[in-house]
Amino acid sequence: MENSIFHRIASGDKNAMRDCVKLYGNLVWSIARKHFQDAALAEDIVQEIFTELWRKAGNYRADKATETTFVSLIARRRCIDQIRKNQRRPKFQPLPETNFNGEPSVEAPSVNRLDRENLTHALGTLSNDVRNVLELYFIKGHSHGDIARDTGLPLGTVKTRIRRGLIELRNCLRKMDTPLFQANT
Amino acid sequence: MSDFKHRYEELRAGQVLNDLDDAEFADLEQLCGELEDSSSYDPEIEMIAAALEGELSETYNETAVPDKLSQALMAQVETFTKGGESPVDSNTEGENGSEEERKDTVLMFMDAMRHPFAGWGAAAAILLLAFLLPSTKEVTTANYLAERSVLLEDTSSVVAEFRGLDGFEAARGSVVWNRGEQKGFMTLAGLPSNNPLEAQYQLWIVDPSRDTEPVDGGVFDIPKDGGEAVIPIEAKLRVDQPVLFLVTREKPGGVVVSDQVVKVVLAEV
Repeated sequence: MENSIFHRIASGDKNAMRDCVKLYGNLVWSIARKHFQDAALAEDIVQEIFTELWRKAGNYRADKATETTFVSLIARRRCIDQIRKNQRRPKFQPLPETNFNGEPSVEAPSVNRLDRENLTHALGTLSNDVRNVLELYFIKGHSHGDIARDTGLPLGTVKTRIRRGLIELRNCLRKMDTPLFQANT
Repeated sequence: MSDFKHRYEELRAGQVLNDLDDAEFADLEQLCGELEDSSSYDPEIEMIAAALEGELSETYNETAVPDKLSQALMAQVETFTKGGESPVDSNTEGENGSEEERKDTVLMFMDAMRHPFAGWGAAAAILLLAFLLPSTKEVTTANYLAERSVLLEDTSSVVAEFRGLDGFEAARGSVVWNRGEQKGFMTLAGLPSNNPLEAQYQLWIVDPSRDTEPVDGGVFDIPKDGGEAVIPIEAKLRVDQPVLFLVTREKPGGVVVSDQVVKVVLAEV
């Protein structure tokens, strides 16, 4: 944590936020563009995300997730919150504050550390059908519609496979020997 | 696993992916009620989705930030570090919590009330509200006035006077908007009070630097007790160079696009 970019930001290092923009700008921009067709709107969101990253830097915990996952989590939440506001469909409350400090609880993610290696391993345990759709969506960045068109699957099946894929991935990570997930006790 | 639980998990995953349609939203709401689950999302699934998108995505190395945005971000970073301050951790922002947290708590409270089986959630939310919300309207107004004063002292803020339109000639007030803070307030007097169940006021902000469509500045009510109301602006999008602020009267909850049948007050910058 001491050497992480977010620790530097939280400590008031004036160069750290510039480094953060250089290092994670493309990731945040790609997530914003995935959620927003309108480039101007995506640009606004990217600026808001970096403001939030600056504000929440002190919440980052290296033992919970990588910096990349932390950035991705905040970026996804901000995008989805904005979409929900635009849709004016407030059936569920805004996503809660990102907090990597809390002890495991009903509300807190029980992820111990989620990194590339563990994710890749878990993906390898999924069936080809499910893994293929997950990879197209998350890794290649294709939309549901693109995946349906490219694979010939009905749109509903694509949505269901991505959802089921996430659930199977979670179940797999829970079972792995490495303590990625602690029991929710 | 039962079909019931299976369906519930799938809808929770869809919620994280934000790909639920209206019927699925309704199903999830019903299942949450039946399971007495007032939590808002599945944190494990969300973390995995974020990790997949961040750790394994092949797209972001191919998607460079546009130069203009890159420059804007660097300029934004300068404002963060201008005063040599460390960022404010939302978890240690003070015992009463931030304004954003207060608003989230209000929404949580309203959401809990919609779940007939989530009585414990509503009770907890009421207790939370007791701690988080200012205890009186006066305190809120005083806070708004203090924040508004700070914006008025900032020379970069935009200030304009409202004038009443047809049928609302007695209305008057002012608006202040600060681009850097993305924050602003209206003061309004002489406006008829509204019944929120029948109609609400809605602010629209015109900013030609972003596009021709007005930005939704938030929905608000004018209480019956008269006097001058201080209303925080809740712009749904970034506003940099506003040229016009217009208040309309709309159906409860406001609208996405106003037909501007009832225009109330207007301020031109």
